[in-house]
Amino acid sequence: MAEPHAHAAAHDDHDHKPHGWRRWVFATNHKDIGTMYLVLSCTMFFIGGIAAECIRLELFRPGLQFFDPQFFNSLTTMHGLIMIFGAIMPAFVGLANWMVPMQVGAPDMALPRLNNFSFWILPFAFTLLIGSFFVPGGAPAGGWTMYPPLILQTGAAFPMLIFSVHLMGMSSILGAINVIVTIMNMRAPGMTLLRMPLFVWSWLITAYLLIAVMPVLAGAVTMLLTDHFFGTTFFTAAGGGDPVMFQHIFWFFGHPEVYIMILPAFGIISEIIPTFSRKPLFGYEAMVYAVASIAFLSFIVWAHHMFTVGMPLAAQLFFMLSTMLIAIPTGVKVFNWTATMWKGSLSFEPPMLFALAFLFLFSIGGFSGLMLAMVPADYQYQDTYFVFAHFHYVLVTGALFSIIAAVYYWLPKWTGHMYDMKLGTWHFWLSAIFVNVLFFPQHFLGLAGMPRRIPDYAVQFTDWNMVSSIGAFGFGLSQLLFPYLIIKCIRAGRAAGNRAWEGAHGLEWELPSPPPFHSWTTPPSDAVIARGAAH
Amino acid sequence: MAAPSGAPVTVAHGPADEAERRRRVRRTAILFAVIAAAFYFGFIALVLLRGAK
Repeated sequence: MAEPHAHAAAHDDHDHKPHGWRRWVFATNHKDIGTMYLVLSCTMFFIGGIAAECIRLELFRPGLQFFDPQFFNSLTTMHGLIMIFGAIMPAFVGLANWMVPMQVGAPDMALPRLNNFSFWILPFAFTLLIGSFFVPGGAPAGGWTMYPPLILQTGAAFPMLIFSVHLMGMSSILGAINVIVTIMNMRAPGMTLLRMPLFVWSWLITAYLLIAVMPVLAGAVTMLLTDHFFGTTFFTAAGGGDPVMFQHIFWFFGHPEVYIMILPAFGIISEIIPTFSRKPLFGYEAMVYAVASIAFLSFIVWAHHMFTVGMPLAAQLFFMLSTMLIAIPTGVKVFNWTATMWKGSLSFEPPMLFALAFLFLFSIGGFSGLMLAMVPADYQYQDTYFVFAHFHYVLVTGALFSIIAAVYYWLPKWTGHMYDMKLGTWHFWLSAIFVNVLFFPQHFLGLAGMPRRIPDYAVQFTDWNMVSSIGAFGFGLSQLLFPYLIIKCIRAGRAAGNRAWEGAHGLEWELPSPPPFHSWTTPPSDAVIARGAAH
Repeated sequence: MAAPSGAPVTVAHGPADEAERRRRVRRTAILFAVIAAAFYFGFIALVLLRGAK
């Protein structure tokens, strides 16, 4: 029998953890749950990626090659839903789980059991969603925006879609409550709001956005459900309903949703650029106010997604101008990141490379967004590949690149090992080149009039479609380097010190690498917080 | 860029602090849960009731 003192000592080290499957199924530790979110996100990224590769394979040449049009539409719909709700959002939640408690000096998230529940909802949601490929009528094919009346024609997959969207929404709301409660209550003494890292700030604001808009999506899909099964006619013109109303409700959720997917990215870039510039972030407070302004503006711009459905001139002008206003806080951020690098002692490790690519390529997505904000121009661009190119520059070279940058930035902290820098640099250059080969020609296709969501196209679009598809194959293949590099790093590598990067500041870098199972069992001192403060 | 050292890394955190923190966590969690539930179910109820008129 073990000595009682030895048992007590084992409990005093704060590093005891459950083993085997119980560690994951009953996980309440923020790092374990963060890891599960990141693994789920990576899995969904590759499933959504396979759908994307199938789409580009079909579009490599004009004419129908491999898939019938209905299945092609299912692929585009599922690609969108899986990437948004399955890859990007869970990745940011995983990063928040890992980093927020460590960055604010807390031992864990405030509500660990709720955290477990939030995560474990998701595998069921995505099993339902992906399972819809195998039911009569096939997967939903009405686009990720689920516009009626088309989406109401979905077969047996319809209730699966609606239920899975509800589950994803609930998971997001519960996760958001946890983030807010953690940041409001679990900060170490001395970690004032304006000492918090930008990543924590951006997540706090994102969490408020999630609580505000996810219920709107829930309401919209519930109306679809009652239209389909209970004889209501919210969106059916024949019964006095209005399909355009769905678009308004959907985009009242949908535009803030875009910012839910990009504000944490702003936080990540604001962590990485100062580290590899070896300078404090330029204009910390302005960055906080810029993120908050962008979040506020996201509520009053939704109708720019639907100029062409018809609305009064005053409404068009309002939504055009309010959309253009977003360029101001976004410009503040880009200026501050650039000013942070100015006269810095720059080095170009993989996190910095991806952050720089974010800066340039996200700006391209921002500029094409400004073009789309102009009502007369939007009449030309609506539903063309130009829109497609715009939002992929925002979400792939913006959100996805920031997630990759974050993983490369914090991986040495998580694993205790430095990773293969050369392989990471290869991953960057292959990604950066192929992503532009993939998406830049789609601007030309859109300007020439190629519509979205079609499995076949007129022959004059062939060349740029071939180039785009080659880019897609190259981009897809080069992403295989990423999990390989991560697994290699988990298994072995040069030991990473507490402060894995020379210029890194923040509480997470005061902990050992890898950090103990429970991070800050006693709060960090004010001196430690002060030297880690973001500015 | 080496961080200055010498300062204590952590500070004392007694049971009273922990109890107070738990109270605050519970209060904030309930507040935001009520707000989120009101939004979630309120919005669904609102659209269904308005639509039924």
